[in-house]
Amino acid sequence: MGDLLRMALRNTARNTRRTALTAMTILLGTTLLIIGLSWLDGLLGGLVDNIAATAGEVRVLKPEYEAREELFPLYENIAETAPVVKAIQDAGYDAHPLIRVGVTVSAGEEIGEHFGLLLGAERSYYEDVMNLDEQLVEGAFFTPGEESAQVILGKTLAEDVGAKIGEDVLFLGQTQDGSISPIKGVLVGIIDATDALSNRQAYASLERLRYLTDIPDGAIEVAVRIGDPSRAREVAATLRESPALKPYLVQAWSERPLFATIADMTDLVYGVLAGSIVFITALGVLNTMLMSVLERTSEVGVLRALGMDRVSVVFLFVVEALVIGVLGALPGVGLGALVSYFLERDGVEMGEKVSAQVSLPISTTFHADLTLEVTLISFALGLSMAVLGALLPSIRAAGIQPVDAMRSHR
Amino acid sequence: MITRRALITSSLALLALGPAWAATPLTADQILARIDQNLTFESRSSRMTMTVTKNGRVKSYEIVSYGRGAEEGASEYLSPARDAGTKMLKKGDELWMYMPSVEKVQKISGHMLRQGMMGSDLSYEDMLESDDWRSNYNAVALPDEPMNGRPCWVLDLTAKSEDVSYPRRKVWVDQAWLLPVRQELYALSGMLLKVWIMSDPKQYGDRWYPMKMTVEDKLQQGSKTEIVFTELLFSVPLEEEIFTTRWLERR
Repeated sequence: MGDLLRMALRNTARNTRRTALTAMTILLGTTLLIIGLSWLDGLLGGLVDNIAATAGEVRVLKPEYEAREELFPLYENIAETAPVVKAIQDAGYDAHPLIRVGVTVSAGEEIGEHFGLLLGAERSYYEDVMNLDEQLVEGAFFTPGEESAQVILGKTLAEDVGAKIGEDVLFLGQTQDGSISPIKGVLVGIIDATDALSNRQAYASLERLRYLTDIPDGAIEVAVRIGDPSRAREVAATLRESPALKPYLVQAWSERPLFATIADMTDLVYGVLAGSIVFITALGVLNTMLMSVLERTSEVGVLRALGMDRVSVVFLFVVEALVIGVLGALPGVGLGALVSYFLERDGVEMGEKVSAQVSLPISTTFHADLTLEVTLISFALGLSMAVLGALLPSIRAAGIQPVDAMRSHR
Repeated sequence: MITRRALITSSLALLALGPAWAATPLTADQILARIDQNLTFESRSSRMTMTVTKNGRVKSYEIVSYGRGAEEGASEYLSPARDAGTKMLKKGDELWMYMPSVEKVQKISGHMLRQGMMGSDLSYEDMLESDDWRSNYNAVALPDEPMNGRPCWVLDLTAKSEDVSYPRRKVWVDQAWLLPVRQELYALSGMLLKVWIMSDPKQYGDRWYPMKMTVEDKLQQGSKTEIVFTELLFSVPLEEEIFTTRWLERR
């Protein structure tokens, strides 16, 4: 075994140019893997964080509302939120009643045709969950006690409408019966959120939204804030046991059909991306290893004639490939991690136009998420590329009869 | 004596001729003209209650309404308290709304026109629609069919242009009242959108006018709007200001 290892190590140094080329291929593959995987993790993680920040990790609503959510069927509301909120609080979590409606928005004397979403929530939700107060770029946060007369707009919506701080903003929505219903409020602040959806929204007090929709004591949904998206399903399952929540749908973020589809798609992209990079890199390794095996066919014949068995021949080439794999994967992981670190720290500004294409809280700046898991997976896959690329030529070499191999002049 | 005899004779002749006139078949176009005569007016003042049943909830509104010709109309909501003071003004094909809670006049346009007026089964577009059917539709007579035990003509109306809300209407016209007692309103695709019933007619001079209308939106299960006129006057003098946006903001 020791001889085989020494031989394999010596072989890597026999043709330094080819070894360097193979290592470079693996380096490139590993670098691409670590960047791609951490980028995908960042995208999904950012989406989950934004969902959690805008709708809670778990939400409670009527199943009939969820079934036709895109149409805003306001009459399918939770008429009395107090027992729902109490049940969630009794379970040890924060509960926030929310009303979100589609409205036309206008400012000043000009009445336009600008559409937006208007969210109604309690002050604590805006402060503790959405961190709206930290995203202000103009004006101020709601004045305590005067929330019902004030509104905050997302940057994009404020620009579209041409609203200025201190001006009245008029929202034209509908009651739960479908009657046109207006409210107005003084614009006190403009926020610049990390996601485009939040920048296209307006924010008012729950009380005003209850008036607008004519749902005096209710809400459309109650958001449950638990602070850890990964526990969402577990918390949702616990809450479902509460008798007060039985009539409602208790839904973790990952159980929302759209987001579940996105998570599935991300998994698919994850697999396809990793698979493609491994395959292409392995092809590169295969090419150089094939050359190496061909060059050493007669040498393999001598070794076989001296008594080396087939498994040892395969082992010899695989160890050689593993050594080259480590030489390529280690700097590959380092380089990939460095790029991912900067992508995580600074992100890449995609602009509103990209994130505005979808009705999801996707950030305008995409950040990578470099984790130890991604680093280890990338390193392991880097070595796999080398082994996979070396396996086929080495099996071929081991299968040649010693006499035929020695006759070869290659 | 001669005069008296002549009067009796002419009365008998008229009585004899009356049914003959009534029996004279009217063309589809003539029926439309008679409907237009009943439903259009120079001026009208009314008070009505509108009861909207939707998603298991019932909501009633009290409304005063004024109309001048087919082009001008104005209405004010008196109750419930939440909507009291809301006013609407129709001028040709434009519709304005005053919302007292925000003290603002808003022009209703675009997609909002297709929404239910105050959540009812009547859209704002319905409100803008002219009652002058003869100008807007071509009529084809279908076989007669009684409605609620009363003889009715049945007309199939096809829109002359794309400017109307409903490209096709099937109408049951009461032969005595010359009123469309039942209408089925269809989309271009042939889908039934609404059923509009006119009932409880009352005679005003030579005009019959329905005191009750019921509209059912067939795209929303269990959705129904009932309008009952509690006061109705035709040919009344109306203030010029009513049909201006100034009136909307007048308290």
